[in-house]
Amino acid sequence: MSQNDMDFEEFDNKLEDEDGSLYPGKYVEIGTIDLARDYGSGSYAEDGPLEVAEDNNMDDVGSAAMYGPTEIGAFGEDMPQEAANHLLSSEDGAGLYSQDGASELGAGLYSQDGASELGSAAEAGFSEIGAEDIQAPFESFMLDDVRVGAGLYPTDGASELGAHTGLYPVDGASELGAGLYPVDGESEIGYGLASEEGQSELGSAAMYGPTEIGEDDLGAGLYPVDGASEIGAAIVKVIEKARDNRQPPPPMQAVEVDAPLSYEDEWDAELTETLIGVAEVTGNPNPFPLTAELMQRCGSGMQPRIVRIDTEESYKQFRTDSSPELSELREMLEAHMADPQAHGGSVSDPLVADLSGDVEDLVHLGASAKAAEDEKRLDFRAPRHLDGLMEAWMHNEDEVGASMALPSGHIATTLEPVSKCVAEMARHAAQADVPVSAVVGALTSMGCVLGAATALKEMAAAAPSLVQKTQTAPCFFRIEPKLNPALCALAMLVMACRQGNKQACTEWQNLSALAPAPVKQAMAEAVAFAKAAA
Amino acid sequence: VSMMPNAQRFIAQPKSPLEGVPVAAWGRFIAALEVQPVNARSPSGGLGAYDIRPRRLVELGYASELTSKRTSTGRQVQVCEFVLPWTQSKFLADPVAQFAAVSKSILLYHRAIVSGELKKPKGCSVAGALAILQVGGRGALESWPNLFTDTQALYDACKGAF
Repeated sequence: MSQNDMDFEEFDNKLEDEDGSLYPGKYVEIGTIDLARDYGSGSYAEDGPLEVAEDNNMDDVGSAAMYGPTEIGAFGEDMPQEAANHLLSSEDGAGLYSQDGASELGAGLYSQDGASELGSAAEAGFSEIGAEDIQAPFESFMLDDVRVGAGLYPTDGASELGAHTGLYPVDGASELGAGLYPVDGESEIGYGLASEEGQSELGSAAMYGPTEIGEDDLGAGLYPVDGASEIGAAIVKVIEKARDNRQPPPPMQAVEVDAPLSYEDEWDAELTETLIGVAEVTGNPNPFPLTAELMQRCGSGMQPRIVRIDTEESYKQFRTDSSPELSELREMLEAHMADPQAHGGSVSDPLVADLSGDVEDLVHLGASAKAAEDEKRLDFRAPRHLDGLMEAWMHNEDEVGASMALPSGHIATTLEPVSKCVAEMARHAAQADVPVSAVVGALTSMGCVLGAATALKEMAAAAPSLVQKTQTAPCFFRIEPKLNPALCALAMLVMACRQGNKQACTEWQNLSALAPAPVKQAMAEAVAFAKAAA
Repeated sequence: VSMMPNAQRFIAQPKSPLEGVPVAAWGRFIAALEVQPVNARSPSGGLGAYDIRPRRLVELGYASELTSKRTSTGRQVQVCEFVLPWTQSKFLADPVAQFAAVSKSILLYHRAIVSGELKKPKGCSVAGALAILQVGGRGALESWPNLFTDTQALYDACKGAF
């Protein structure tokens, strides 16, 4: 079934015929750029259903800052200056963030202050988004359950915030958000292992150790103290790699489904082709590593995502229509309600017996439908205050569905092709250097969780815009990066260069020398953008 | 949002595609077939973790235009052109695709053995025969028990699986 192709058929509950396995023809390649780490994410407000977007200004402040999938956007400007600052993290470390307060990423900021990740945004009145609202990357949630990293943390309940920050080297990257997780002894586990390249073996090592956290001591079952399950260890390594690789989505916006694409999208394609072309000609597989990372970070190559907005009532209808089991239950209920003879009669009336039979059938069918729905549900770990605000499920064999409550009371839903989910997980697995046979059986289920996380994060990043644009529901929007990815990446590159990042300067100069006219035009725009933001 | 019950849900042995072969036996067999990293290309021209030979990739429909070329070491190897949407780099980056390809390959060989199309030598286990076929093709199976060193090693690793 096609997905997010703007024809809405992915929201049709009717299953389409499938043509067998994903391979070889149906497999979806989603890019080969090696992503950087997934910085902290999420910022749902604790005391309500994602109310963070209620202030319209938040739209400018950056959905990322509110909904958390990305740390970009703490500034109230389109120019992602803090993202450029972030580039310097490899040199200046977390201190940068604590100083300028521009990003919620700063480990130093959080481990010391432990409070607002918003920095300047917090000063502007958004301090309701506190550290406790930060939501761990979904990859962490997978890891949490295998208790990876538990052994790294003291068993006496000492602050893991310090431990987290202490784990991270000076590049200031992977510690992002680590200290932001709630100290309830759950979700911070494992995040300390959102480690640098080459450190991921910490996870395997740590997981064999005792865990002080949690009643459901899953790790013990999976990883006996005297030796690890090869499969379990391999799976953990894949999850770690996924977490290390993943990027938060850029700030997103909602547009009409059939809104034309910006002419600037040509820049994205041209810049991508330039990077690929230079790689092919020079034989260097990644001649512009920083630019490539920034491109990815800015949403380059993101496929259009269609989001359905529902009221609570229409959402129930949508989910019921999407579920054969629930549909059957509803039909039986409706038939029962429409049958006048089913509601009358006396004790001696034989109709009563019919009624009790109907009720029994309904109860049985209801239990079956619930069991079927439970079976489809995709579980992922999220902070408790998000209970009931997000859900993910196998929409059908080919798609993962993900829904989240919006501050407006609406519910946003999108679908993600399973093939895309598995493709991403397979890419992480390939980089994790684990036996294929050990993880291949798990990649689909892991990929579906990852896909749900991606869908939720992107919707969250677009949530302010979705709220603002929704007039009536149900309705559909397309969500896409706010900024042209090429322009965003180039602006970040030039700003990083201006702030002394030599790699950024080198890549900028090389691009100037090699890029075709459209890319040079984008570079000029980026320079102007950077000047305006300076 | 329910809390994730545990990570064990992710642990799953790949199902056996071979009728009558238990999951555990299949797991041992397929693990033994994995001889190199996902992105590797063997000196024999085999691609990926399972060292799938270009000829087999052509037979399976992943590639076409099988040709021979001499490597820098003077060895004659076969090469193929992948059929879109596949490319060699994409295949080499995708462990799931490689697993699917080798599973399909083994399944077809197994069917051929069961149907009698391919004759399994007496004294050779089914798993061993499949391993030989996978690495050396029909010719290698016919020459059993005289095998090249690498083929013999793979046979030895796989023969006890089933």
